[in-house]
Amino acid sequence: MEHSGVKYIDTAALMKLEAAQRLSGRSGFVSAVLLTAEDINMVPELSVQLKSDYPELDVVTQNDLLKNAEKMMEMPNRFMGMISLTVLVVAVLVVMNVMMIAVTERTKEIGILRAIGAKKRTVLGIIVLEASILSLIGGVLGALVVIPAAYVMDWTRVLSVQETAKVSLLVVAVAVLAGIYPAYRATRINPIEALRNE
Amino acid sequence: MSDKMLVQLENVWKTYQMDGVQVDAVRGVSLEIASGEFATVMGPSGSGKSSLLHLIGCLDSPTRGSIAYEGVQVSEMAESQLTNIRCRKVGFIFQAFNLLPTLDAKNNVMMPMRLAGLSKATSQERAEELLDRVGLRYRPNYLPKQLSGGERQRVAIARGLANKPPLLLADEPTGNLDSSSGSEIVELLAKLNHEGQTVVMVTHNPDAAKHSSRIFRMRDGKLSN
Repeated sequence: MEHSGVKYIDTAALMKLEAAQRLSGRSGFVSAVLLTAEDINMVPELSVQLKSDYPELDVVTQNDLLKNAEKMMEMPNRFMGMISLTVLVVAVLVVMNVMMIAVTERTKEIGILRAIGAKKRTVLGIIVLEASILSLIGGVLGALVVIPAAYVMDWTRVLSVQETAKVSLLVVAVAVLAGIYPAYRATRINPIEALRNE
Repeated sequence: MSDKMLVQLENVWKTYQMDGVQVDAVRGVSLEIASGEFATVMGPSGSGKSSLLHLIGCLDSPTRGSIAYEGVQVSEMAESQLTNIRCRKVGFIFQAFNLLPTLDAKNNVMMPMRLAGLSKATSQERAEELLDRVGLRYRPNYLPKQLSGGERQRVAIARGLANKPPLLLADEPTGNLDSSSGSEIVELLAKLNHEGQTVVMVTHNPDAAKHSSRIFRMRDGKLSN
C-alpha cells in the first residue's frame, strides 16, 4: 500500500458505518458528525446554536482547527524568541564587562578629565557613547554575517523591514543597558585618588 | 579679610579615612593669596602640602574651616559647582604631567576649552597661541609619549592656562624632571607670573622656590614660619 500523506488516514481503515458499529460491538453509536454549512458565513452562528441545543457535544469549527494549527506553528517562533532573549542578555553582559574593563583601565584618564573640569554628566556621556559605538559595530558585523547566511539558508523572511527595525532597536537597548552601569562607576572615580602618583 | 584676596583659607582641616584610621592631612591652616603672587608651599613629603593644594584648587572640600575663592565661599559647595570652578577658574599642573596619552599636544591643550563649551575653532586657535607661549610652537601634533618630560610639562602648563584661570596651581611640577628641565619649567612659571598670572606651587625643591614672592612652610599638616 501507498502512503496517503495524511498520518491519521494511513493508520485507519475506511468502511461503512454499520460495519464499524458491528465490529466495535456498539450498534447505533456515532462518535463524530461532520457537517458542511450551506453558507460559510453562517458557521459561527450555527456552532453557537448547536452548542446550546446539544450542551453534551463538542462543537469544533474549521476556524478552531486553524487556530490550533497556528498555535502549533508558534512554538518554533517562541523558541527562537527565547534564544534571541538569551543572546540579548549575553550581549549586554559582554558589552558591560568590556566597558567595566575600559573604565578601570582608564581610571587615570577619567581622573584627569574630572580634575580639569569635566562634569560627571560629561564622563557619563562619554562612556555610554563608547558602549553605543561598540554595540553598533557589533550590530553591523552581525548583519554582515546574518544577511548572506539568510540567503544561503533560504530563510530571507527574517530580513523583513520590521525584523531589521526590531533588531536595530535591540542594539540600541544593549548599548544603553550595558553602558549605564560602567558609566555610573566612572563618575564615582575620585580624581585625587586616580591621580595619586605611582 | 580683604576682598582683593584671590584665595582665603581660614582654619582649614582635612581629615581622611585610611583603612579605618583617621589621618589629619591638613590641620588648621589659614592663609591668603593675593592676585599676582607666586606663592610656594614647601615641606617634606607627607606634610599635607598636596592636600592643601587640592583644597585650594577645589579638587577637594575641607572637613572643617572655610575657603573663599574670589570672595565666594567654596567650602560648602556641591561637587558640580566645584567642577565648574576647576574648569574655568583654576589651572592644574601635576608632577606626573597627567596629559591624556591618546591626544596630541594641541588637543590636550584644547580639552579644558572644549569642556568649558568653547567652539573647536576658537579652542584650536587659542591652543596654538598657548603652545607658542610655552615654547612648543613646532610640536602641536606630537603625542605625549613622543615628547620629553620638560616638553610634556610645558604642554600641561599650556593646558592649565587654557581657560585663562585667575589661579595656576602646580603640584611638584619639577618632581619628575632632571634639574635643567626642572629649572626651565620654574622659569616659565616665573615668566607667566611676571605677566600677571597668580601661581601657587608645592615643592620640596629649594631651587624651585627661589622665584616665588612668598614661601609657606608646611610640617605635619600645619604652616610654620
